[in-house]
Amino acid sequence: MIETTELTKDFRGRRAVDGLNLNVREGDVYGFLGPNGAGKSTTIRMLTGLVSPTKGTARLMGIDVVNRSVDALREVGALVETPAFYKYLTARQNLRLFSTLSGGCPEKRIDDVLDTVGLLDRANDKVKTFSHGMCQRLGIAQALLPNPKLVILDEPTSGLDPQGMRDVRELILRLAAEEKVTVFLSSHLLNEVEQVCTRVGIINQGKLIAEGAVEELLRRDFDVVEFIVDDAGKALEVLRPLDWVEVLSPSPLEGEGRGEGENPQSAIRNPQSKIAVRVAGDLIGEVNRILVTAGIEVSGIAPKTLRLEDLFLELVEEGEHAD
Amino acid sequence: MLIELRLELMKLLRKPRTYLGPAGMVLLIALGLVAMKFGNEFQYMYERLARDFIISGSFVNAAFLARFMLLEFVVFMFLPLSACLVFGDLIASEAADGTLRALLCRPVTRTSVAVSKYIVGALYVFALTLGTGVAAYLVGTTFLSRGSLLTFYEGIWILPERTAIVRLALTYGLVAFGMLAVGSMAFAISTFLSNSNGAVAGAMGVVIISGIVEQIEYFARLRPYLLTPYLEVERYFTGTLDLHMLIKSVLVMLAYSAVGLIVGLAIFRRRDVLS
Repeated sequence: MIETTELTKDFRGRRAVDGLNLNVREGDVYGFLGPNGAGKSTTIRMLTGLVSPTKGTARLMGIDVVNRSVDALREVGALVETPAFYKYLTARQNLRLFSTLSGGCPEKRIDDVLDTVGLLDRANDKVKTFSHGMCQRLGIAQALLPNPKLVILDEPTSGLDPQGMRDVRELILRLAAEEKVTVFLSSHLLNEVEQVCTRVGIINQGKLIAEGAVEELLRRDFDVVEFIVDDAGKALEVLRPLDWVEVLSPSPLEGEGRGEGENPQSAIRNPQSKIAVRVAGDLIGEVNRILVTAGIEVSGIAPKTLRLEDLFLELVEEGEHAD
Repeated sequence: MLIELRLELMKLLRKPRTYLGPAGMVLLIALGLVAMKFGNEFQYMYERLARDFIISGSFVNAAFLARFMLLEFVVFMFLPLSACLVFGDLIASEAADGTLRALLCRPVTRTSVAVSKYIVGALYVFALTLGTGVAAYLVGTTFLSRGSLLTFYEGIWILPERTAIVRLALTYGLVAFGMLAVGSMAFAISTFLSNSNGAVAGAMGVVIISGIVEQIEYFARLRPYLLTPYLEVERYFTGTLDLHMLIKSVLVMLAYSAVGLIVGLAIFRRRDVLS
């Protein structure tokens, strides 16, 4: 549905997007992730024909966006950054206006999408009376209006309250499951992406640093495991010489273990502390045996599931260190 | 293209800013009417003329009011400003508001979007300019009287009513083309700005500088290429109509307009929409 080849954009000598090769398949709910300034918005603008690539190509449903933007965008609904509407028009008038540009749609469809985003009762109010969250909902409504095969959503939950965020997540899942719409979504909210996306692409400094199914990306040959021990210092001494165990203590995944004032030293001094190690799944028992043999009391073993947030931070940090 | 045109027209009609120009013109016509009916200036003019001529009826009539509305302030300031406000708004304000982004994400060509905006702007300036003439004449007919037009340009001229109407129509037409030219400059500037005020200031700057340069003898050689000399309408209210000059003036205005449109389109088609 979306295919970019060496997509590159320079702004006055600064490379915003660098040889991006994206591949979004039909039926994907694709999460496009990256830190601020990574090139997400520029990529989305190139995909929607708002910005011309310096080099490379972008194709939507096999059609080149640069040379045949009208054909490429015919079955695409897009919400690019903050939704913008004609403030002197009502929500309904705005949707009618945008739908006309996509070939028009029956009034019933306008009612349906307004209902979907919970704005039907405000359909005849001028947009200037809307809050940011309501504009965001209306933005999603206008993206859905032309019954698109592909929806491009740039930070769709920005400005929404928790209920609104959940509604949007459910809407995206429903679109993908029931209407077979392919969704390309950029978001800062990794938890949100993890919940709704089937595949993700991670961009940093204009380059795609990872792409694939969420499960695949999170699957590791090595597991991160936490051992609750009575003597963390001794445990570290025992494990560090082993070349098949990577000691991570204290766990970089442990949110609560990284509270204010806590650091590796304090973790070691604590008689009942956690140490995190990265080790092949079939060797977890072996680590336990070594610790117990060394006279360390192991009161708990907790495998830690790698989350998208961890992967994201790991990849972004790796990229920064590589520079 | 027709769809885009219809939408642009709808937006224009619903935008409060659109009505600033017509509201201002209504106010100016009303002020002109009050000044003519009750002001001393026209009474004094009448008395001066009565010393040398036998005046039958009143020269302060509908044609006179319509001619009065073509005074320099209106032609060189008020109408251009109104034209710039609308033309400058067409793209720059949409870029600033982000609606341009929403518009261009749709399956529409940039050319059709820009051309439809331009056509709507052209319709607006023609409606405003010609509407001013028609409104002034109708108001004059209602509250003053109808009759010959008395004008002063290298002498005193009295144009029969029918001739006066034709001259007024031609002159208002010329001014409308002039406003299209000014608006086209605002349009061209607005395609690379994200602020309509810049487009208004830029195009008005061109008009003002053209007016100043025109007055400076040193730049006499530039005069044929300036805009403002072709907007001096007094010359069309004399005994014989300078049709050659009128056609030349319209062509110059069209040339300015074409340049504004072409430059605007060229920029708009390539512009990265980042706002």
